[in-house]
Amino acid sequence: MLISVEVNGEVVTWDVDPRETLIDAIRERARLTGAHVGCRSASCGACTLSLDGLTVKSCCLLAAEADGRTIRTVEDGRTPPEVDDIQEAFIAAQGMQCGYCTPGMVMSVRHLLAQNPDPSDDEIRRGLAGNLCRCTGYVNILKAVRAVRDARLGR
Amino acid sequence: MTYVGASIPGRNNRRSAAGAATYVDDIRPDGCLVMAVVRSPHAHARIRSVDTSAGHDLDGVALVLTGEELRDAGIAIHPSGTNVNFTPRTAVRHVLAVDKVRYVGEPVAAVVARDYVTARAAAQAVLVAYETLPALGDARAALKPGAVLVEESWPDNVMVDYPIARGDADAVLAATPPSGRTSGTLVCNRVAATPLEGRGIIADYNPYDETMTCWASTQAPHVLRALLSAALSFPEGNLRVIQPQVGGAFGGKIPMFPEDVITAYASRRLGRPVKWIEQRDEYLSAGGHSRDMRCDYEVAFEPDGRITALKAGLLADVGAQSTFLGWLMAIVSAACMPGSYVVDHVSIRLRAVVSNRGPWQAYRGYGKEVAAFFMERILDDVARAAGLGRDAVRTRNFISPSHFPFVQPSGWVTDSGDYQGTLEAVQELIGWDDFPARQAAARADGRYLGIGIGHELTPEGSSRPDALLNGTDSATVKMTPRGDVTVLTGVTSPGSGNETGIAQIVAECLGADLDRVRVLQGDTQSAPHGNGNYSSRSLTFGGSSARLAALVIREKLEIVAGRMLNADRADLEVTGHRIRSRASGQSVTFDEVAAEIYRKPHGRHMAGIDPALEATRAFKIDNVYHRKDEDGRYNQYPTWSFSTGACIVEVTPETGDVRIEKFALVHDCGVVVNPLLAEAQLHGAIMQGIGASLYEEIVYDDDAIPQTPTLREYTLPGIRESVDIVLGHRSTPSPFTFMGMKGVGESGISAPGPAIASAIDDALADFGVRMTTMPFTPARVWAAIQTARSAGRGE
Amino acid sequence: MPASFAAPRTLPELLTELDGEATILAGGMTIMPLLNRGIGRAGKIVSLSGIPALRGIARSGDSVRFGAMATHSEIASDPIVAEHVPILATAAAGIGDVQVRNRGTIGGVAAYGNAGADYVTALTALGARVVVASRRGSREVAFDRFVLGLRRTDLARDEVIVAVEVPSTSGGRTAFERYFRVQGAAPTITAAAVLMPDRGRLAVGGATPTPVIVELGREFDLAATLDAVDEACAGRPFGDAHNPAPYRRAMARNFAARVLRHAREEQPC
Ligand SMILES: Cc1cc2nc3c(=O)[nH]c(=O)nc-3n(C[C@H](O)[C@H](O)[C@H](O)COP(=O)(O)OP(=O)(O)OC[C@H]3O[C@@H](n4cnc5c(N)ncnc54)[C@H](O)[C@@H]3O)c2cc1C
Ligand code: FES
Ligand code: FES
Repeated sequence: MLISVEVNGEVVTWDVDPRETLIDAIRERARLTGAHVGCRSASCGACTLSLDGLTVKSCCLLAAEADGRTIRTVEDGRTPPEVDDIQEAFIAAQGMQCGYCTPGMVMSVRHLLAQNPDPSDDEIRRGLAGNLCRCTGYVNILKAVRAVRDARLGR
Repeated sequence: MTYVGASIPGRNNRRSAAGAATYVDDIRPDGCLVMAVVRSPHAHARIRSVDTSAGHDLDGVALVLTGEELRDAGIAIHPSGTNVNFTPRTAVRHVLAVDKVRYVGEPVAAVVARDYVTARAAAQAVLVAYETLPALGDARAALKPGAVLVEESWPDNVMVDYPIARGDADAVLAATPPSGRTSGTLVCNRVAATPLEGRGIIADYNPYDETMTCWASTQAPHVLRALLSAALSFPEGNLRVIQPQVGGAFGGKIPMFPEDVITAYASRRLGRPVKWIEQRDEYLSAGGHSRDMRCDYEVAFEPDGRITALKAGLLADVGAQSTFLGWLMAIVSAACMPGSYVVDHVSIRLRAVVSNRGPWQAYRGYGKEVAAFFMERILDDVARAAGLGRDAVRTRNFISPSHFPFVQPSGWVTDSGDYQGTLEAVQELIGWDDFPARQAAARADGRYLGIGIGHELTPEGSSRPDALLNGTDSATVKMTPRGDVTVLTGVTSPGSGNETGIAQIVAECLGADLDRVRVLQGDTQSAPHGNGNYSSRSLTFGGSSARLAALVIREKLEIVAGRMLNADRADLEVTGHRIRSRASGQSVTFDEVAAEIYRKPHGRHMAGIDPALEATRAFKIDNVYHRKDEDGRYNQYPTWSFSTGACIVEVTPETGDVRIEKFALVHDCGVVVNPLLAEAQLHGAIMQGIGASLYEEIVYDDDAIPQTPTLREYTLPGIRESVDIVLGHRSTPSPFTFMGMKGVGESGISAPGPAIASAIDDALADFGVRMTTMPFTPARVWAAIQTARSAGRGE
Repeated sequence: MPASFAAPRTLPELLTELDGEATILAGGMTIMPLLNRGIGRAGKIVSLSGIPALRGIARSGDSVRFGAMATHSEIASDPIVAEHVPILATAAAGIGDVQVRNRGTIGGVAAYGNAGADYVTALTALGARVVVASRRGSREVAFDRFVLGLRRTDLARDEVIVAVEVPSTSGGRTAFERYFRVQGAAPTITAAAVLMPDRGRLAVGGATPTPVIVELGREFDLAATLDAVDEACAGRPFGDAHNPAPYRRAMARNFAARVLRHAREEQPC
């Protein structure tokens, strides 16, 4: 079936299978492979994208459901090797190891800080609760988020 | 410029953060097909028939494979390799089940189709008729006389029966009065490594030149190549294995998996690339588990806490057999007892039994974490029974630094250590001495705080006899005509950051500019033979071999530069990609020397010099003995890192909920090449240790049906469960590696289990609770309190 | 049957699609993980996402009407909910994680009827009603009679939940408690207490296939209430691998006590 979606500012039309999930469409059709598949059960958050301004676990959405909607991915129209301040903070703090969870984490941090520019540790934890990381023990992820928060607030 | 010891962020961070890293599922060769595996829903059943027609008939399906086809094509795995102290029972393994299935999730058939959706639908359409058999749900049932046989050609379900003895533990126990003895049962939960990226492979057979290229999410490309070549009878030289970025491994991606063989076979049959990407539910049932072990122990001790005898019966449920080699972890658990402690009379008997649970696969800790849990719980039990401090009992029994190398009862040789040192340092870090006052104050407020310690021994660099996973690795260092340095290593990095550490070592040894050193790994076509990444070996082996190769290049650069500068080699100073004569103050850059060598091979500075600016060297570690000596010594672990962990917990008795307030670990891994990355590894290992202690358990029911099929049930700790981790370092350099480096990748995974158990016991001392079964879920802690209450203890 | 997907725009269109074969897709946070594992009927999917009539949260007399597609995030932050049924906002804010709350819906939770689900317990205590429609007409069911058993609700295959109506608790005292083992797991126990001037109700979920209900008078005896909870749990045990039934039963009593204590301490709103 034909659907039309706006991905990182560009409108595209895809002929998707009714059973196809949004993560598969983004990865296979848009060839945006920053978002990953870790579980397909809405548990790990590796597939986190933004849909109409809200973060979603795209393994548990059908591509067909995104018809007419706006999607943003971790790549979000940046020219390589450009990254944003959140990604820079993850790089500097070693907020990653294998990197598999990182794009999903970054998406969640973007939304968290957009909604709450000065989150406490507890609020950071709640905001990132839907993103699992198996490598870092979250120690350096927390450090990275605190660092962006403080830098943005000029602290 | 000193690079070694510098905290430098990982070299792959930028591409990972950008979402631009390439994992196996991000690779799409033209015309690539997708494979899905049909798996057994039964724990134990005979396969009556496999009807593939409905799968075949679907539009877009290219191939349906069955066990019979693969068997008839001569594809089977014959376990090989000799072992020193024990002989396992073996059986031929089929990568797709033939005749019967032995665990839920076992591959039965495979479907190759144009895309993921079609392949999954076709896999569902394959009809397998089963005749269910009674299933063995756990090891104790498997040991009973008359139990169902998982391997019908064996007389019973015991795969390995491995006794270890020193002195006469029975006699000492018999001669010790009851006040000097204690006993108990400890249970270590079945867990799964669960890297966030599942397993996966793409095989691309080229029928014209009869070559095959595989991209695999593996820890050891060369090893995978050798094993695949043997399984498929495919020339090893025509097979290339490439490791793209790997989304975590932790032992779980040490080759080889049945699906690797099936995918490669399918590609060869179709002459097209075929991709298999594991799904999480497949991983949790069939990707391999570990740790499922129990220990029945008896110990004798003196009033001062010295342990005089230890008798332990270990029972490992290694599940059904597969192509995985995880069952060897049970051997390591047994061989690492008593580990850090001197016990003169030891009797250990390990029985590893097969059952209808899933097979074992390597996981960080590799059995050492089980040994640590058992030993540390035993030490706490002795402390309790003797009425002594938990720290005092450890101090009393530790191998003292003057006793190294120390031969374990298993014959393994512990190289070095200062266990008291890490114990005291962690006590300081956690605030051990001040804690009782805090605890009493909290108690008066109705809060239950507890403190605990757990010591771990993490022998690393596993070097098994007659195996491709061994105590050596190789590296090539080369310099281009314009002076850039390339390092090719046989070790790989699944996110551990060793590419960064190896670059630091090479830059340092070569006197090169770090930015001009590139490290390439994970491609059998370019990298020299190597064992890959496992057993925390990558920096010790990969770094040491790269150093050896770098020194060859450095020597040549110095000779030529000396001639160019008219200076003695001894007069030269090499740093920052530049060679300088101290006497004249004149210098040449590496670029200039490289140009001299490449461009003027017949010039006046090159007389008698072989112009190759490329060297391959292998590092083979000492302190490994693969033949037993007259004292029964043999050793597969050259370096023995160790740590002591300590934690403070708060327990809520009404719910049994355990909250970790702080976790401290003092670690000794010799010289640290990159503290930022080493600490990051420790954070991850500690969190995995905490996960297995509080949240994670692969559960089977009595009929061996998995009860934890998704991450909603097999619950990994999230950021809300993350804890305040404090690290301390000490350094007892290894005498056997470059600069005394030891591994760091596994350290920190073992201490949390016993430390948390110890802290819970301490918090609930009023109740006399003893946590003996991992994980310490709220339900288990609560049940232990209820048992204590009904015995009249507490409150 | 070939796979198909439909996203009707109106209620009548939706009802025509619901032919008894269709699988309804709301937020997908329960059904999609199952379909991804090959469990359930994936043939004909009918999405509720495109129907404006199923969205929104509004006052309706003395009640608040939640469109079936109101998401957990919307419920957690809606001012009407905060004023009139604050415990539902509390319940919503505790569900899963941000991404799950952005998709999951009240209708999906109600239709699935999982033991211990935050809303299942809260809606039971609140005396909510479910508005159900099909080609055959529409009906309203009291929520406590709608959830029939473990993940079993009074919903025919051609029916859809259109809305959930929840009486306002203005002027009453209410509290909600949830206890979970680890992020991402279903809650172990949820408990809700609604103490109105003229009536009161305690619901406890997670220890039994459907919530335990204890009706409370203006005055009630705490010990007797807890005994009633305990007895109900003993009669209908529910447990799983990590939280066996005896443990859940004890926690039911614990959290019943907590939620009643908290409700009593509340200022009437
Ligand atoms: C990681 C994770 C954590 C979670 N944590 C919690 C938690 O802490 N507490 C909790 O309560 N829940 C939790 N959930 C479940 C979550 O709340 C789901 O959103 C909810 O159970 C289902 O809502 P949905 O809209 O996603 O329904 P769907 O998944 O779309 O549908 C669920 C079922 O209901 C049917 N259905 C849906 N809507 C209707 C309707 N209007 N009429 C008729 N039938 C309908 C569907 O056909 C399906 O059978 C969690 C889920 C995940 C993935
Ligand atoms: S892949 Fe979507 S949440 Fe894990
Ligand atoms: S960095 Fe590996 S999962 Fe987070």
